[in-house]
Amino acid sequence: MPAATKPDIQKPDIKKEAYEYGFHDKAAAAVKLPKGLSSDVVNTISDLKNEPEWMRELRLRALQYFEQRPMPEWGGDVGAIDFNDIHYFVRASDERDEESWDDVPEYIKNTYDKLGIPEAEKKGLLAGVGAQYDSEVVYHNIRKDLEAKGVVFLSTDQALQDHEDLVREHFSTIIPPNDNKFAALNTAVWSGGSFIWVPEGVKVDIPLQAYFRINSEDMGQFERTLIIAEPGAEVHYVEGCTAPIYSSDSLHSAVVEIIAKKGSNVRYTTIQNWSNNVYNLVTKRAAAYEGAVMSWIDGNLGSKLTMKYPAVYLMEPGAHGEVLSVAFAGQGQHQDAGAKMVHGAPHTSSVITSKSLAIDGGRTSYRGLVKVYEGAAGCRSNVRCDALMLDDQSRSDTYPYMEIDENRVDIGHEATVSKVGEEKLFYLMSRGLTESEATKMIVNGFVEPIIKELPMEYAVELNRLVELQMDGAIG
Amino acid sequence: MGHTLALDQRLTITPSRDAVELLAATLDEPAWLRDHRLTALATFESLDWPAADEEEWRRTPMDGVPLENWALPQEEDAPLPAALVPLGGEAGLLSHSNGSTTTQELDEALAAQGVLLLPLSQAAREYEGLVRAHLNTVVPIGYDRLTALSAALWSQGLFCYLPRGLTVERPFLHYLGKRAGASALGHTLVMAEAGSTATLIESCASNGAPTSAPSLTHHTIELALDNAAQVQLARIQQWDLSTNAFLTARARLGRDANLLLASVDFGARLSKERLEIDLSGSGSHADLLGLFVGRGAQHIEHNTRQNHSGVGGSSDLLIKGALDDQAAAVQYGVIKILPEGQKTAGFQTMRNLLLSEGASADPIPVLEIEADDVQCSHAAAVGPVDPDHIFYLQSRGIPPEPAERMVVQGFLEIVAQRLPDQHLREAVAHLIDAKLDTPKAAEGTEP
Repeated sequence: MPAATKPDIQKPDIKKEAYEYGFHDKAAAAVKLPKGLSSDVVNTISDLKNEPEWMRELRLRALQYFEQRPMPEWGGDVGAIDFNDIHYFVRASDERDEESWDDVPEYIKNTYDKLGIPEAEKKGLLAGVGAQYDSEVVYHNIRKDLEAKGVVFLSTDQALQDHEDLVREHFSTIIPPNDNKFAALNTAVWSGGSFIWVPEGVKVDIPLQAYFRINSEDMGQFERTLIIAEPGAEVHYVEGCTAPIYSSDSLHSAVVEIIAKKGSNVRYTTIQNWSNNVYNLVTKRAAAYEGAVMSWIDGNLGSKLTMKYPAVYLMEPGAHGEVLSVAFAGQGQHQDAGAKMVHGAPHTSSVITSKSLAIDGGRTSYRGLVKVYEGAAGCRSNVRCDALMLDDQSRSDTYPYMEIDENRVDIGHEATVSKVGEEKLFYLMSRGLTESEATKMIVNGFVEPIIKELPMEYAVELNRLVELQMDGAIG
Repeated sequence: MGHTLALDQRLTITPSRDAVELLAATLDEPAWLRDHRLTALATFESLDWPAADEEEWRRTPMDGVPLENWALPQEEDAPLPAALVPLGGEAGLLSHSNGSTTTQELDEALAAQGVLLLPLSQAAREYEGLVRAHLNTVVPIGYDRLTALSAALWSQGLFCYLPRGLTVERPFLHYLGKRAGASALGHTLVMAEAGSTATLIESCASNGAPTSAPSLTHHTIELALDNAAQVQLARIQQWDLSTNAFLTARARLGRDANLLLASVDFGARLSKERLEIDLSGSGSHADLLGLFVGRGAQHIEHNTRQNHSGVGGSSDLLIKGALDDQAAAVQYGVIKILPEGQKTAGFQTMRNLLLSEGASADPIPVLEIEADDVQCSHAAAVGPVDPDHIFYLQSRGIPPEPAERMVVQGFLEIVAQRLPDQHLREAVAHLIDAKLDTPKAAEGTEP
C-alpha cells in the first residue's frame, strides 16, 4: 500500500444544473394590460380593483415620484431594465379568492402541485396558505380557529375592500411612496401580497404561508404586504418564491411593511428562488415598538440580481431586531443583500448574521447599515458576516456601513471571507467521504445557523436548493 | 513678462501660471520640473473638486474648508514650532518651515554609500534621471483635484533614495512646520531599491494659536519599494485647529517588499488621510496603522485601500482612536483582492472609543474579493470604555478617573507599540496624555 499522502484536491468541475422549477403553464390571463407605464395604466389598475379614491391618488402620486427619481447608481447593475417592456397588471382569472383548493383552475394547480403546496396544507402544518398566481391571490384558506381569534389573513386587495380603515391607517406609513425608485413603482402599480392583522395578545402558533410566482413572460410582480401585530401579538409569516424560466428579463419589486407594536413578536421568513433572469428589487422594513421582537429570515438563491436590505427601525426602548440571511450566487447572479438596523431609542438591540456563498462566477455582496442616533444610549448591535468562495471565478464583497452618534453603546462588526478549507476536506475525505460529499457537508455546516431557524419544511427546501446548486457545481 | 506678482499673489497660493513659474524660480528648479508643475496646473483646472456624494467624500464635512485664496506663510514665520517630535540619534534630518528648507543634514557615512535625503527641488536639479522617472508615478497628478493642486504648487518637498541592499539602522526625520492660519502643500518621494531598509519619521506642527480663518494643507507621499525593500514611515500630525489637513499617501510594493505606514493624528480641525497600498509584488506585506485622539469639534477621517494583485501578499490594518467632546471619526477602508491575488491574507480592524456623549464614529470596513484562495477578515467596533475594566481597576483601589485614563492609554498603546523607534514611541505616549489633558476650552467650539 502506498504511503498516505494528501490527495490532490481538484478544483470543482463547474456546470450548471437545469433550473429545478423551470416549468411554466401556458399563461391564459383573463386581464392583461398592455406593456408600459402611464397614469392610464395606474388608473385602470385602480378601476379594475374598484379601489377607494385615496388609494388611486396615492398610486398616482407614487407614479410621479417614480418618474422623478433617478435609477440607483450603487449596488447591482439595473441599467438593463426596460420599464416600457413590462406588463404592470395581469389577472389570472375573473374568479377570485376561491374558497377551496378544488375550485382553483387546473393549470394553476399544476404549478402549485409541483411546489407541494396542497400537501403542506393537508398535513395541517401551515396555518393558512395564500398562493399568489401572477398578480392576485386566487387561492386562500385560513384555519377556522385563527378566524375565531380574529386574525385577518387576506390578499392586500381583499383587505382594502373588507378592512379599508385598517389598511388606510397603516399603508405606506413605514415605507413612504417616495422612499426609493422601486418602492415608488410598487406603490403605483401594486397588486396582491398579503395583509395580516393579529389582534392584541393573540399568538399565532404555526406559520402563515404564501407562495408567490411569476408566470407570465415580461410580467413585473409588485406585491404589497402589510403585517400589523397589535400589542403582545405573535406571528410568523413565511413566503417562498420560485419562478419559471423565461428568455427575457422579469422584474420583481415588492414592498413589505411590518408594524410590531409593544411587546409583539413578528418573524418574516423568505426563501427566494427566482429564475436567473429576474431582477429582484425589494424594499422590506419593519418598525418595532417597546419590547417588540422583529426578525427577518432571508434566503436568496435565485434571480439575476437581488437588491434587498430588510430593515428594522427600533422605535422604543427594549425593541430587538434581527436579520439572518443566507445568499447563494451562481453563474450570472449577483446577490446584493444585507440588512439595516436603525436604533432610534435607548436600550434597543440588534443582531445581523449573514452567510454567503459564491460559485461559478457568481457575486455576493453584503451591504448593511447600523445607525445609532444620539441619545439612544445602551444600544447593542452585533454584525457577523461570513462568505465562502467556492472557486476562483467568483466574487464576494462586504460593505458594512456604521453611523454611531452615541457613546454609551456596544457596536461590533466582524466579517470573514475564505474558501472551503483544504484541511477540513482532507479530514472528511480521510473518513471515507468523496470530495463532493465533503464539500457539501462543509457548505451545509456553513449555512447551518440560518437553516436551523427555519420552519422544518422550509429548512428541508433550503437544504435541497443549496444541495441542488452544489450538485450542479461539484457533481 | 518676468516673475513679478501682484500683491495678493504674494500673500496667497494662487493656482496660476505666474505663481507656478515664480515658485519654480524661487526653488531654483530645472525646466522639466517647472513644466511638470504646469501640466499639473492644467490638470487642476480641468478637474472639479470631489463631489459631495462620492463614496469617500460624503462623510467629510467640507463646510468651512477653504477651496481658494489660501494664505501663504510669511518670511518672519521661519522658526520651527516647539511641538515637533524630538528624536535624537537620527541618521538624517530635513526641516521645512513655512515653505523654506531650514535644516538639511545626513550622516556622512550614509551619504558616501549613496543615500540621498534632500529637498525634492534640489533632487530634481541634481538627480534628474531618478526623480523624473518616479515623480507622480505612484500618486498620479490627476488622482483628484487636490493632488493636482499639490503637484502644481508644493513647496515642502523631500526626496529619499536608498541604494540597493543598504540598511539604514537609525531613522530619518522630516520636520514640517507652519504658522497657524497658513496653508501649505508638500510632497515626499521615497525610492527604496531592492533589499534596502530604512525608517522615515515625519512630524508636522504649527506655530501660534488657531486663527479665525481656516487654512488648507495637502501632502502627497509616494513610496516606491523595489523587491524585498523594507520601509517604515510614521507621520505625526499636530497641526493647529484652524488647519484642514489632507494627506494622500500611496505605496507600490515589489516582490517580498515590506512596508509599515503609520499615521498618528492629534491636530487639525479636519484631518482626511487617504492611505493606499498596492501589493502588486508577490509575497509583499504591508502594515497600516492609525492612531488618533479627537477632542473639541475635530473630524478625523481615514480612507484606506489594501489592493492585492500579487500572489501570496498580506496586509494588516489597525486603526484605533479615542474621541471626546464632539469629535467625530470616519474610517472607510477597502480590502480589494483582484482575481490574480491568490493566496493572500488581508485584515482590517477599526476600533473607536467614545469618551463623551457628543462623540461619534463611523467605521466602514469594506471587502471586495475576487479570488477564492484567500483569508480575509475585518472587525469594527464603537463603544465607551468598558465598565468592567473600570470596575476591575477600582477594585484594585484606583479611582474612576485615573482608571478610565489607564484604559484609554492601554487601548491606544496597542497601536503605539507597533510604531518604529523607541524615542518616537515615548514621544507619542506623552502626546496622547497631553491631548487627553487639554482643557476643553482650548479645543475650540466651532461645530
